[in-house]
Amino acid sequence: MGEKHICAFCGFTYDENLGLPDEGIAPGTLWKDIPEEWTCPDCGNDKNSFELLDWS
Amino acid sequence: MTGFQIPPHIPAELVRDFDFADMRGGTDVYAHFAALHDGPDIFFTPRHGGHWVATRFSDMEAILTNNVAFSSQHQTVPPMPITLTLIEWDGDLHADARKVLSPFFSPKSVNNLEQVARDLTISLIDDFYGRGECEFVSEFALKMPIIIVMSLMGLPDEDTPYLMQISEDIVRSTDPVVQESAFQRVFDYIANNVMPKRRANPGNDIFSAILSARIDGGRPFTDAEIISFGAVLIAAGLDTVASTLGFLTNFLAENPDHRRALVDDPGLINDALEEMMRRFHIANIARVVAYDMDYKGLSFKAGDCILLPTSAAGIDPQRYPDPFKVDFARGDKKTLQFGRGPHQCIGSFLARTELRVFLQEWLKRIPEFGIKPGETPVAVPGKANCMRYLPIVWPI
Repeated sequence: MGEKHICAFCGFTYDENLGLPDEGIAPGTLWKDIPEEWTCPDCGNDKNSFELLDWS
Repeated sequence: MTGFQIPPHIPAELVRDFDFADMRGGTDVYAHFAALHDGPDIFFTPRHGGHWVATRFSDMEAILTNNVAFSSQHQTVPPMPITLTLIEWDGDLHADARKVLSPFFSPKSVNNLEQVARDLTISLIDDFYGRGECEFVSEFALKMPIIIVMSLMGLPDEDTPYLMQISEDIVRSTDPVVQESAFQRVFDYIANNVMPKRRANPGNDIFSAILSARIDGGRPFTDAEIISFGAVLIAAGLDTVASTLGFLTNFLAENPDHRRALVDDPGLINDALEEMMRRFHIANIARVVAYDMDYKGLSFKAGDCILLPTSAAGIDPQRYPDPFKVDFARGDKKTLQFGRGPHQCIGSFLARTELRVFLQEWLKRIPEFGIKPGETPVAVPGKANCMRYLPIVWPI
């Protein structure tokens, strides 16, 4: 089961199982493998703005 | 304005008489800011002590992001009578203060507050639903966010009306006398009512965290910094959310097709919220030039103040096609509603949660509503634009 990471500013959630095919990130891509220069597709904040979504 | 000397480094052709807080008889806040796009991208106004005004999304984003060249020393025009802890600090000191707050505004913490916001929203609606009408600003918009902030800060409910008025005076007034009076009242409140209790009996609230924190290489916050910090939290937590609630509700009251789209498909609410916040940016903030520099052919001098009216950024046609149209399917969701860069609003996730919960619960209970016949909503520009009066009615 993949991890989910949530943007602490806007709430956009990256789901490792789904990836982001529209941005060329294939399903199954681990969070740690996403480039450091990647930014939130909704609000533009950087990868450091995300935190592990370990609740639901 | 009489007697104001335009500084010699300001080209005469870039001087405009513009007061961001005065519509000069106009009634449409966003038309007031859209008119800026008919002039130069950056100009200088002698109002409020003299300051530059950036009018384009791209310049505002660049300035907000570059916290080395553009200091947060003054976040408002005119400057506040005191330095505001956290938001008017730069560099490491700002980062230290921000770290103290971060745990309280993380998505996980806010997730725990979501049910509080939901219960509160339902309770406030229940109070007036049966009347078939309300004055939305005073009966809902000003109450919901301050009660959430009071909860975060561990402050008693009975103090809410007192703090609401103080917050209003700090954020919405451009009169230094009114502001200084408000600061004095909140200082007295925090110094006499909050700090002694938290020092004697620490809890899990923000004030207790501030009191035990170490910043600037290991020192505690001074009493003056703590009191200023409290004033910032109370004012910031209330006013921007309250203002946004007002503009969103006014828009939905006047645009039944948009409202019904959300009622029919609540799954649209997240995208709709971002788009409505884009259309109705609230904050008109400032930065201070840190050192002499050239910026796009202009000569900025250290100490120059630059107003960044995000109200104009959100409707900048260079950034957003057809910017006045509210299109829930608009692809570009990047806005300056919560600022940008190191000073980006730390409470943005909480604010979004409050606004989303409001839309979900309000539209379930009051799907049809409009402006009360014969009445006219009142909105005014300011450091934070606000909806002053919004009488709405619904069928019961």
